[in-house]
Amino acid sequence: MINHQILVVGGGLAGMRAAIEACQATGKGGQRLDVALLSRVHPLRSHSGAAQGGANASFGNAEAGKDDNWEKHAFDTVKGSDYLGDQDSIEVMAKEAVPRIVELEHWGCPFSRTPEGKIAQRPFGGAGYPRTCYSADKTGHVMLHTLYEQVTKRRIKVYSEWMALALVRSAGVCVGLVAMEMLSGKLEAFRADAVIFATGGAGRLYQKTTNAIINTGYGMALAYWAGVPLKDMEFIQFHPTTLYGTNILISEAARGEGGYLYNAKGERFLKDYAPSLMELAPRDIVARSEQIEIEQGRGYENAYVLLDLRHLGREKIEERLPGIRDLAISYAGVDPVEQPIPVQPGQHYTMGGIACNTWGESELPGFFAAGESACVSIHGANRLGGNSLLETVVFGKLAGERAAQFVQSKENSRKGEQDIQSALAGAQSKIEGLLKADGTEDFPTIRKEMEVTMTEQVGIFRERSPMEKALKIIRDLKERYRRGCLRYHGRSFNQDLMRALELEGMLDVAEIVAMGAVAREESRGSHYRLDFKARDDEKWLKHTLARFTPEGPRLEYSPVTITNYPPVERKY
Amino acid sequence: MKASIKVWRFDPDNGDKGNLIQYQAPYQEGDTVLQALLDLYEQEYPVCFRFGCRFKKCGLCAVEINGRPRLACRTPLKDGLTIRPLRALPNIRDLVVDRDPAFSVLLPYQPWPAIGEPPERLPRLTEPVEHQRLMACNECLGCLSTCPTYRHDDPSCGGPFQFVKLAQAHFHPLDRMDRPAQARALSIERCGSCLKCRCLIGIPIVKMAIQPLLEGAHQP
Repeated sequence: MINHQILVVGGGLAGMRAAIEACQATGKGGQRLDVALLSRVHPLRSHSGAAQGGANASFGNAEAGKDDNWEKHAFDTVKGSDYLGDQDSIEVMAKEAVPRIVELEHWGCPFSRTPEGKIAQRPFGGAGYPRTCYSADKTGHVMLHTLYEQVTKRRIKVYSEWMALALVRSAGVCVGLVAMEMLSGKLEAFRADAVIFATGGAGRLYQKTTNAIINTGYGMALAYWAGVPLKDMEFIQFHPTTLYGTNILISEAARGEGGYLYNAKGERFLKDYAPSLMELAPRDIVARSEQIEIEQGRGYENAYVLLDLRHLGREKIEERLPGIRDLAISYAGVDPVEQPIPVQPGQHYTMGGIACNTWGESELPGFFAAGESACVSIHGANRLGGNSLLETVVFGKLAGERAAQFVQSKENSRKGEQDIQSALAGAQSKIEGLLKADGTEDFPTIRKEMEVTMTEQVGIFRERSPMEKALKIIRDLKERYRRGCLRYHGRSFNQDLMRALELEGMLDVAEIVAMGAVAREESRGSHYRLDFKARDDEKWLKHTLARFTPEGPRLEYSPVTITNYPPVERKY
Repeated sequence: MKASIKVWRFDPDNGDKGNLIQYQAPYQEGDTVLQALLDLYEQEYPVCFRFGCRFKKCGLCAVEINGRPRLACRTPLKDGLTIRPLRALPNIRDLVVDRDPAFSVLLPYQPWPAIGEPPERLPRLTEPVEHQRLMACNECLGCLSTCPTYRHDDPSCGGPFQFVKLAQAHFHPLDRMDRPAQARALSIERCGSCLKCRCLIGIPIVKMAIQPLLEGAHQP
């Protein structure tokens, strides 16, 4: 059994920020806490690196943003969330934004600059001022490198290409986990006084998604199986500008820098949906508007609209959006300097996640969550662009800090070792069962059916009866999963096995998304019901919690924290 | 339509020495080699390969295609392609290589900007264009397969990837370490007469990493 005081699972921005914070704390004898990071891919290969546009912080460095402050950032976020975000947490995020970005700067993160040498800021959707700090259109990439450098510098032990398989609880507290070293296929038990999950989103539940192939939401499933509820999972963000065909992300920065969206009639159609903010309305509104244009026959080939950057000119595109240009040329054969880019909505972000508070604490003592896998909740029913990169560093830090305090406050115990051993044996026999299974069902086929079902029936527009059908299909797929069979039976780097394990979690998470969406009889943020088109604060201003039971998920509800911003109608 | 491709398989669990398998990949206009590998994996042979984002960002899908390193997510699928693992690094299974040696050799050189105590006030800086370009590196490690002399098992022998990492620090406006001296410790002199290295995503390695480090002047 491997021992660490704090074990962080997930090597993206939130996980690394949590590990950095936790290892700065000292134990009773004055020695540093023993912190380790376990990640399914090498930390620098994490999907955080794909984030393009930037991170919000109310510096007010841009001329048009000089009146900006944290209260305005908080308000924009609350309104963007369609009033489902917890306002106390949102205020913490808005206040912590500036110090977190300055800290990254001091660690050497190369943010783009204004001519006077200050951190440059660009406008983003749903924000009253240019507030988004960026590094051209590779902000996630440079932040990821900066944090990894800090992790390396602090000599934090990294278990790279290890997959967590079970979160272990013993006598009501979290005591460790079971994980598999992917290269050898060997299982290992980890004992830890605190575990922090920063395992990313669940975009791969959907067929059309900007997410990497590794974003399966497996961490969420592990937490759920360990009895920690998942919160607000029905809120799935669809990004308005993903490349037609491949659904590769075209950053909101493209519109922040001034890009226009056109329908097939050559109209900037957002004038009919969000006349004041136009293309810079929040993502839920823009994605829905686009889908309506396409469904009503005003799209191209009934599938896409056009994102036009040509009027920005070659120089600005090359300076501010070089990555976007490169992606459009490589994957759509279109040079945005000369032609508009074909785009369509695609799944982008999981607003929901592991239920936790501002400090990442879940209801299971010793178990914390941060980043996209967590639901604090700050994004509520719709996340604003630029708040996700920010969330990773703000709440990663807080989770690391609180986990360290938790560990410091208790005697160094070896409790729970027996339960960890039996979880190890359980994982062992589950894997042996999968390796030996000779069923007739094919896992990739099951996964594809799930992706299509979620995209078509639990997508941008939702309605009771199709969603109930989807729920039935997902439950059938869960049955079929039990008769699944692997094609590769070796131990070393068995992706067949890893993807089959993840699929089990994905089916459960998909069921939770669909159940939450069927139950929520209102429209709020990204969750839009054709049969309940209005927001209903009286009945539904509350968080959904999905809790594991052997019979399937049980839905519960919890109140939303309102501080300074009473819910009003959301208009842009 | 189908494209006929050959893919390297090597399964140490079965004690084989490795061989190429022929595969008829379903083919549609615009398909990439990554798509073909995913199809092969899902439909016929569970070939093992690394992948992540599918759009050049994560650098995980670098393989050798017809003898040259390429990103599978970036290479159009065609009839007659042969796909092998990167030759510069140890082969683990099928197309998967051990990436560790490429990173561990850098650790003694502190491959992060050596800034010292953070300044009290936010520094007002400009980022050199070299730094901007070099930071695009997605660490796919494909460049190592274009280097005729890189050896993953020799800690005194860096390759283009390691020099790009040192050059990133060299051009960071706040870095205070002698990166050219570190590059010399990784035998950069031998690059002077070679310059064959290529970057899969177009970073001018010779101009922005090798030459500035060779010339040796420490940036103020």
